[in-house]
Amino acid sequence: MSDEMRPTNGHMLEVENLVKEFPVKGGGLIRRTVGAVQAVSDVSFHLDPGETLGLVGESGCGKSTTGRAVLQLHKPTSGSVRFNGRELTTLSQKEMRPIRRDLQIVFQDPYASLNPKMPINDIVGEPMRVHGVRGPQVMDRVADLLKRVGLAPEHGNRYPHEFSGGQRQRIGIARALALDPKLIVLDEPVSALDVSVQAGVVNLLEELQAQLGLAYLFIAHDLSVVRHISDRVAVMYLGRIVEIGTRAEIYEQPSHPYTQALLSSAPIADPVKERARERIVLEGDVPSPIDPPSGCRFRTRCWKAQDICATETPELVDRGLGHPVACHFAEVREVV
Amino acid sequence: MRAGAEFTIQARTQGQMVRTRFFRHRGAMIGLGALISVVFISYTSIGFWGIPGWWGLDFSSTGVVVNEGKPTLDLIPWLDGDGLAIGPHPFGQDTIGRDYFALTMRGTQISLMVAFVIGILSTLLGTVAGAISGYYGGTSEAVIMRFTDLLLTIPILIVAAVVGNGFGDTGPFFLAVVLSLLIWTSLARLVRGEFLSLREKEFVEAARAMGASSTRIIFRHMLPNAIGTIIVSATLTIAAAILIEAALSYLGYGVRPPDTSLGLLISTYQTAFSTRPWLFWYPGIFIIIIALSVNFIGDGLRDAFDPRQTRVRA
Amino acid sequence: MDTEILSVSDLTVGFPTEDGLVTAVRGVTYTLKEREVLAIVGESGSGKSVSAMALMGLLPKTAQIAGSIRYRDEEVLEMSPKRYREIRGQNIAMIFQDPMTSMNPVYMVGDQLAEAYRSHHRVERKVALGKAVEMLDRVGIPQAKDRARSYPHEFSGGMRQRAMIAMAIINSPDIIIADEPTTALDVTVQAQILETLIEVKDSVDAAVILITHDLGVVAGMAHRVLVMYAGRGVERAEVGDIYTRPRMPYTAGLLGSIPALDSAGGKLHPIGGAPPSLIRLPPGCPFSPRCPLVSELCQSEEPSLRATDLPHHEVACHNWEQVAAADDPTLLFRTEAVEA
Repeated sequence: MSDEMRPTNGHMLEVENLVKEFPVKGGGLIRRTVGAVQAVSDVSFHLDPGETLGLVGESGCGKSTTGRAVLQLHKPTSGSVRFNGRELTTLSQKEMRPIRRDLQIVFQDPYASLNPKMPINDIVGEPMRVHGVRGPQVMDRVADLLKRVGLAPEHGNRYPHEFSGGQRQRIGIARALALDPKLIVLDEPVSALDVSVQAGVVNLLEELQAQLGLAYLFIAHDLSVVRHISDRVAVMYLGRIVEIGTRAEIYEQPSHPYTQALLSSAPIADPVKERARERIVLEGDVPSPIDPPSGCRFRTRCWKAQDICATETPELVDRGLGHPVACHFAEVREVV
Repeated sequence: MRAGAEFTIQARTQGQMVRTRFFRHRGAMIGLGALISVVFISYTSIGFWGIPGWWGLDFSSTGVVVNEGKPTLDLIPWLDGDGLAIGPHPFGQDTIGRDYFALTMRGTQISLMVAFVIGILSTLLGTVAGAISGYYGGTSEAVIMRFTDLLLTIPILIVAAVVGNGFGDTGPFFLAVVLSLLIWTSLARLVRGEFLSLREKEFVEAARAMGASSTRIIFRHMLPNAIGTIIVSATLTIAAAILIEAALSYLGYGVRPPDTSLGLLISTYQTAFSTRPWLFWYPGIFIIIIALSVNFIGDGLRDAFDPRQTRVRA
Repeated sequence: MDTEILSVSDLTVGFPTEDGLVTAVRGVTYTLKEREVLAIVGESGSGKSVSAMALMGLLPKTAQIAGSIRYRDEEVLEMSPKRYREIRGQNIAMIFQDPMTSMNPVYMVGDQLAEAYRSHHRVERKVALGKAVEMLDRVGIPQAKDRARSYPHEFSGGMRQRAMIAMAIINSPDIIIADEPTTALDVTVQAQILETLIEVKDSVDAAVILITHDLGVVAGMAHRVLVMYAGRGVERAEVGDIYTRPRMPYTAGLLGSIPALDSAGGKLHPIGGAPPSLIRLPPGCPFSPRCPLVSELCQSEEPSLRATDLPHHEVACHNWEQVAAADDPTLLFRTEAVEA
């Protein structure tokens, strides 16, 4: 389908210094830009085939925007996104179209991500039609995809409202698979589902990854699910990655204060452990992304904050702890 | 097995559900019945476009005024004791002997035509304008929206008066077209609003993510989801148009003789109110019937497309 | 723990809808003691929120409620509206899920709290405002005096929820019903709010009914747990037992489908299928279509809550002994063969 541009060295997806700002317009006759929401500020990571990178953070940290910016659904303000060696940020809509076959997305809301007026056969088949595939092979592939995600092809002429939330997510996954992508951005794919249904969808995603060699950018706020499915994890706060490492490194040896606070706040389904835990409870609220703190953005809520944190932005580098951390005073602390 | 177990409720498309709810709406059904009857009677009774109708008399031939032109329609058999009668002139005659039933029917035909033309044309215009400004945003939106603001400030009656004066005798159809060009603005705003909210919906984002073109997104994804609002708005525009046409013709800027419309009939015979009330009331009743019917239908459609939430939160 | 203050017996709630009668709650029974935290756990369609709204009398007039709710010695469902108003907000208070819509956006926060106080105490506005500030301070809102003069939209989500808690405790209720109080919040804020809730509950000596779907939150706060499925209670036990010795297959299935925060790997064993439609329930036990232990009896006779081998532990299952006998009940839901 798509031509393979094999990178000579480097990764399938390389994101470097990605920035996305949304202008804030003032009132008046001609609405001028008075400020900007700094949704994503200098984010870098990479992803390889068959790998899952979990992107975690709380609301407003920019993880969803990052996912969309990678797919060029939001045009990045600056920075580079290279897929198989090819720079995506400078491509026109037209040039980007064939590449979209390899990059797909599954959304959070099972109720809003499917057009309520289209039967699911059409929904799953649409990517193929958009890319010029016609004829009976479309329907054959749709039936095949529905089976693959655990749905009965006979129900293909039904409408989204006739399916449960979990099934709708499966339909969304089938749609994402239609063009045989290499990378799928999953934006909170199970957050809106009931607990008992989440597991089924997570299992499905894992199976598909094993069968098809897909790479996942798994965006979520549920730390347990991320731990289960990810190979590597990046923690975001207010537009920046504060720590990135393998699953074991992040969950067993978190070094950034925010990561530690995040992990210690997440509840564990075990009454004995949960009540015995030492909890780090953060003070205050998340600052506004329009006017983030200077230097380290976490400093306003950090118990380790010193003067240097305000004047010098900590870089995301390995400080001898085994994986990159963006903190002047990083040290390992077990919290889970 | 797993997937099949949940389909215990019969599969119905959204279209079918809308239709079921519409036909259950009593007001809408009454309105629909009344409207269909009016359309049927008005067009078949005296015919149109050269096709003859079943009512013997036509609306333009004058004649002898019989019994001061009083209506011969008699619906109260027991009062007079002479039984139900329709008589040669059920709605009476006007001052020059024309059959008033035929006149009223002609008036109804014209008023209906004008109202439907306005309804359909302004809906088309409004939808296109709203869709473009809602989907593309930016300059096109700003331009279109400022233009609609401008149009909204112009009083319809004044424009209609000017047009009516300048092109007076070009016929009711032309009047309808001109009015459409002025009325589309509120629908445009509605459609723009719908498109703005649809644009943020994830299934639209999904379409963009797979590389769909803007045309495809607008026609395949957004319009079908806005159609409810559009249809309801169209119905209500038609109802308003009936009354606008009546008002314009009443003021003298609408339909001109020898043709007639319900508004013109009311206007011409407003002074006859005390001496020959039937000349005023019959067209008036028909205006009311049509306006109410269309309004009820619009209500029914609105409820059908947007039922109240009956989901139980558990 | 001490005396029983609330006793719900066979509570049933039905809603007439376009498609038929939806019985959201089909006979729920539980008790609540002073200062106890009872967690009602369930997924969507379980009826947990509706049963709480029934306690507060917040259901629409069309709702058909049956059964008994005894608050101390009074039967709530037979109370006069006047008495109900007295109790609501004063003895039984509620915290809702969405902090953004549960406060009136056009009134200052302090005023709203003061109003809650003045609904049950005849005092001057000034006194009530003073109490409001005191409560805002108690829930950890900094500069409470100034903050009382702010509007809800000027608060963050976490602060708004704190203000809701303040509103709930301002009249020192016996019972606080918290309906998914932290579901809409970020996890770090959730931790703050839960901590506040625990402190506050102790300070006014209130019992808490915590309604949630999050088994982690339950683990941190609850003394006893009621698991609901398809409108009924299916397991009732102390919190430790629920997690380590469940007797209801559904509970075991839930536990097996949650990924652990404190360990990686391990397969998730989801429960197949989906919760049933409340309009057309299958005969017998509503969980039977999804249950690995289903037997003929399950499909014909709906099990009632019955005692098990453990004290204070009741379950609505015909085959609970099989669950008790399994070493790891979550494995009952394992579907695939063991990987080579």
